[in-house]
Amino acid sequence: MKRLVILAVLIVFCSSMAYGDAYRVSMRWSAKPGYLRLVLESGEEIIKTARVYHSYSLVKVEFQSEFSFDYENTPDAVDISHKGSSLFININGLKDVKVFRLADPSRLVIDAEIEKTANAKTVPEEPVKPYGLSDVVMVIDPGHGGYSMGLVGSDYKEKDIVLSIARSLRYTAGQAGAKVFLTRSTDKYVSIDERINSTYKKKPDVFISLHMSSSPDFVVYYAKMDTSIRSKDRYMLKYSQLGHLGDSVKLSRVMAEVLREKFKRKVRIISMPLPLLSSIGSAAITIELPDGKYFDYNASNRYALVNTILKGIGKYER
Amino acid sequence: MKDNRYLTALISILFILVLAGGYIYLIRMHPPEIAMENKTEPSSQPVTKPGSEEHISIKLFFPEGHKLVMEEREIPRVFSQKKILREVIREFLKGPAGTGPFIMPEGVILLSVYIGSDGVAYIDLSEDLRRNFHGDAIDEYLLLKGIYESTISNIKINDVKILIDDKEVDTIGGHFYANRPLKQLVTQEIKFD
Repeated sequence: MKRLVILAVLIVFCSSMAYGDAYRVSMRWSAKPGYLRLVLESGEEIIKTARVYHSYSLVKVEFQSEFSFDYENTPDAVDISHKGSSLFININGLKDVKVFRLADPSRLVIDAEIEKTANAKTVPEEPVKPYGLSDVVMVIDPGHGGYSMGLVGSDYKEKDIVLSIARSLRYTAGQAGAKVFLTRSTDKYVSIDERINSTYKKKPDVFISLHMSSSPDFVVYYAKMDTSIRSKDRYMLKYSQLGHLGDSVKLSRVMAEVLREKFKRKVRIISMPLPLLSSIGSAAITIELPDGKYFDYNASNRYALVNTILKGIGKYER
Repeated sequence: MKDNRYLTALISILFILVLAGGYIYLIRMHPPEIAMENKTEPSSQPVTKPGSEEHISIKLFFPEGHKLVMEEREIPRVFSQKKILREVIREFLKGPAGTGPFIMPEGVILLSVYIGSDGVAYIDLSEDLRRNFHGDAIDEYLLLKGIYESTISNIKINDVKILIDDKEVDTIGGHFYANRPLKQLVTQEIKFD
């Protein structure tokens, strides 16, 4: 009897190992401007039965059941999450998707047509400059996301450009010793309240929201606060900016100065009742970058933008 | 004798039921917002053009550059506040008379209007507004202010709220709340440094 039980346990153990092996999915990728290929490799049955759905910037791959997922890194334009039997692949600037299956080894190939700017190198090539950002906590808020595209041109979307710049800011400022958080790091819609709440938890020294202007100019906004607020309401989250307005005005002026100097463009400063800025308890500004119609968002210009914004923050902090 | 008492009780119950039914019918036929409309002061109605009995003049406010510009239009005379509001928004959606750009996306439809007992005008627009709005913060601010000013200049109400497909939405263009009435936002003037 004992032998039978041991045998049964061994059979179950071995079959579960075999089963586990079959449900391992690995990924590799290749990319060039405007094009991205993701290759998912696994057992024949797994690949054959996998279903792929595509909506806006999201590609969802659904497998038969839960699996383990191996990948080393992802391209700049891609953000991947794995939950249960599904793989969620967010691709910046996604235009179209073609899917096909190949054998020996069994693999699922996802060919994505993307905007040419979406996969551009976002990591600066030059060494990180000493911005004086050591220990500065900052929250960068890339506007829009998901269905909310912001300004749209023939080869750009505001939501993708601001996300790409925000990611580069996170990387570069991180290298310079700052702690940087993003209110969204993928192409998904985040409500104004969610952005306020996530920023509140991080208690930043500096908050920068990134948007695009519908003009050739830069625009820097700081909050316009309602002066008729009753004293008992002054501690409400939505009026958090009240005690920091002076800092925000200073940051907006410094930022306008460095942007004007670097890009030789008009920079307007506007005080506007933006609810996001009004609810932040630190120096907080929105930078509207020039419309993609008038400004080339190639890798070199994006790099210049990232450096200039960080220079502005460094100058403000000093 | 006993039968008569039962009969009287039965007739009384029937009478009460008829009264209750009538009351419910009247309430359903005349909801509170209509009652509110009828109570609105006639002074808030747009001015009739001299010599024109058939038309009334309305004021519309359209974004132009960094400000709103007023435009007067004539619409067929209507008497209810709700109908005036509907005509005002329909005219607003047509855009300004000039050939300049209008930030309102094409294809936006007015689904319904409603004036609440709290004096808030609810303007229900189609999803096209949210999905196809591609403007910056000033564009969005001036569009919301234009809708607000056009509404309060033609009917007597306390505030204006925008709905999309009959629902509250977080924001229209990603910069300002749309899930609360507009007055507090748009009555704050923006300031250029």
